[in-house]
Amino acid sequence: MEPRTVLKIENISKSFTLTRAVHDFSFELCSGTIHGLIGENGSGKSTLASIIAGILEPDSGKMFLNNNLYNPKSAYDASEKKVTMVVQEVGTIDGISVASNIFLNKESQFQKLGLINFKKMYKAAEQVLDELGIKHILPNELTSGLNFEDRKLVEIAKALVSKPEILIIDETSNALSSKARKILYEIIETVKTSGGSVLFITHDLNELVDICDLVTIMRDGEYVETLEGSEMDISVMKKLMVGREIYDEYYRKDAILNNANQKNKRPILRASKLFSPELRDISFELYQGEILGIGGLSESGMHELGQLLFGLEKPDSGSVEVYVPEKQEMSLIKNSADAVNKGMGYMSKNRDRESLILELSIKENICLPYLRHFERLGLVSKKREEDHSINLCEQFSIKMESIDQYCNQLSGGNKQKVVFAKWIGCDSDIFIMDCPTRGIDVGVKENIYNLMMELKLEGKSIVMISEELTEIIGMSDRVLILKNGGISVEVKRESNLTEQYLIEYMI
Amino acid sequence: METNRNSNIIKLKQNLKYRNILIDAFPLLGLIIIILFFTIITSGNLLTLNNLKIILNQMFLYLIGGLGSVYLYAQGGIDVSMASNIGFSAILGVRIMYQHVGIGIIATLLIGSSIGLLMGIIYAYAGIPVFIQGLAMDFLLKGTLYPLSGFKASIPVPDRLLKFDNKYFAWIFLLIIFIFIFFTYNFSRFGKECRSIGAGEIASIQSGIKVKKNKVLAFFISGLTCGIVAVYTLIRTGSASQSTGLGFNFNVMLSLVLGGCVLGGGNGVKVRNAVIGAVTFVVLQNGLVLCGASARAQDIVKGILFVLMIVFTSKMYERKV
Repeated sequence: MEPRTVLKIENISKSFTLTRAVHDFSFELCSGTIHGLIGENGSGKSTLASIIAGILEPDSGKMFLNNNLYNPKSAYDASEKKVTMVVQEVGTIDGISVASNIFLNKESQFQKLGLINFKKMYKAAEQVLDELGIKHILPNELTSGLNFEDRKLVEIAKALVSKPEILIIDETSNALSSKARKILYEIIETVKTSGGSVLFITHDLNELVDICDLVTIMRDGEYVETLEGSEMDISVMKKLMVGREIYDEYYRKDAILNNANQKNKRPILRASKLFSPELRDISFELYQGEILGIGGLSESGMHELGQLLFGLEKPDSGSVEVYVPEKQEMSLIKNSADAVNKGMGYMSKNRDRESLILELSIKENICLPYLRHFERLGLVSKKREEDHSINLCEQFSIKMESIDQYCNQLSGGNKQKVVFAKWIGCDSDIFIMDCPTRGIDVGVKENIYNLMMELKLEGKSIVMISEELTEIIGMSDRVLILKNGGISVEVKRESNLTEQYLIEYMI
Repeated sequence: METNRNSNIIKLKQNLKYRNILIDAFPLLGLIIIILFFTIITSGNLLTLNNLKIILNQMFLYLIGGLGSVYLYAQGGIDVSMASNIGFSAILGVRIMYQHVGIGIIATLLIGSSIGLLMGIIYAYAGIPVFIQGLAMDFLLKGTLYPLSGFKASIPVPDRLLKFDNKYFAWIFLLIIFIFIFFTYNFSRFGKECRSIGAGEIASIQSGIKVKKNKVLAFFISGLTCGIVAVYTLIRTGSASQSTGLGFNFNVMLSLVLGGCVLGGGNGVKVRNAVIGAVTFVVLQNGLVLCGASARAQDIVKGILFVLMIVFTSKMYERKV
């Protein structure tokens, strides 16, 4: 079948009050292809995708779907025209069942005399899930009980039910484990073979090369280039995205652990025999100046472990202790407030909801855990607050209008910089980082890795929980791999450590 | 082209600034409009010296109530049981006042704040919707009012209490409360943390803020405010009954909202909301009375305004942020 143009976009532009998200953008989407879309954070990928999916309305420009003018009024309208999108963040509704989510807006097919036959709907949903090879999600389960990844899968199932001609996937795979990714790739393949087209947005360039037929690169909201087949070279793509040369090796350079340095260092955090619903018998120590990588599948319990270390969750048994310099001894972590007092900082995987308060300013976010240090006669000194945050914002070169700007106006990379500024400003000694580079583009990623090295050299300790093995191998002094809630292997940094070796212990 | 874009951005920023100023000034504009409206409609009767005195007098309790509620509202909370807390503290307080007036006043304050404390502990630890919790407490307290008042329609206060009816003292007291709350709300750690909890509770917990402690304290302050309102209601009305404080929670809520307070909490809650709101609310109520509107008609106007203002302020706040 000869590929034909399914969607044609002509000179689309979209601005938000102060930022120009997409500018004069034109391109074509062909049937039976998987089309990658890449660009740095804030380059306008998600905005473009949202316009195609009918979630946003363009300021100017035209779109044609199968040679007819295409002007979706809403996401519902777009999905009627067989254009659906799986969004970057969670797109499912919490309080209703999995089946109701999958058949959202399509309930009428189960309707009789105005009432929905839920039995029928559950059965249909079960069929859909079975087809996708998703066995562990029940159709009558409440969506709120599912974890992030499973909710993503439900959303993918929902997208597929409408038999889309154009399926847009926005940075979804970043949040998925390899098993779930496999399911996603299968779905993409199905759409492709049935003559539809997939617009695939990702930060993972290796993944992109593997599955996409061609790729379009965006920069600052503008079209840069489309590469096809063998032209899709990772270093070329990076260069086009950033507009300058980026070196492959942005991880730390010292490939082999310097053992001489590691001696005589005392443990600064100790987890002993931690048990919880997600974890079993976790014990380890974190040393001063060490980056400890924790890897595993996303359901392995590693994210829960991060929360436990910081005192956000209580273990069923076992304890977390940290070294308190003032007392010269190890001391138990009781809750998150206690953890902050004892020099810990935590960066959640869910940056927008948990690490930052979007409806507060940059200054307020940075100063929040540190307010007591600005107090004078019971009131917080405005000047100290401002000095503190201005210093940090300069140090991290956060792109902003002023420290009073609200965080919801910042790009993903800048938001993460604010989170770093917050904890570094607190003089934290131990950093628990849960997916610190999730959804962050190459340029800022490099920044963050450099920063982690700086912290390490200052004698700070880092627990880095990550779903990206390359990052774990690239940055850690020591790696723990979690599997089904337990530690399956511990490896020290060495030059010939491979992803394949670690994956063995994950699955 | 780049310079063109830059000048565009500067223009946009200017516009945004003006828009934000306009949004901030809206409650004040609303107040001026209401004053003008009722001045014209009552052909100036609103602004007679006598009526201004009445307005000032009526404003007093709503100012205290609104100011005492800002911490709780900043957290995204709300105290629906305020009215019955006032009634409960007033009735129990009066009975103690017959033994000793001073102890009775202190007891009234203590009872109000204890109920606040209890509400705070439930709010922080039980994890039920704060509105539902308030309704439940409201019902519970209301049910006790009649038996507590010894099955009497009303209990007159002891004469000695009426000696405390000193206008100057009252307004100085209010001024102190205002200054205290203005500074602690805007510049203390507690005030800042309240707003951060309202804007993002999970992120606040993860920043090491003692959210539960903050919640208990905010409700405690709201409860103490009820105690203060109860004492002043007793002094002013000269008796305690089942209807003491009736409707107070809704009136405080409405006055805060009229003052531009965002019910979701966070930075959208400001001290000036309580002040402007109390003035607006009382002028509105007073104006309606001067127009000869019945109590029912007043309620209808209040209800409509309440919904309109909530929609308006939350939409405006979304835009501003």
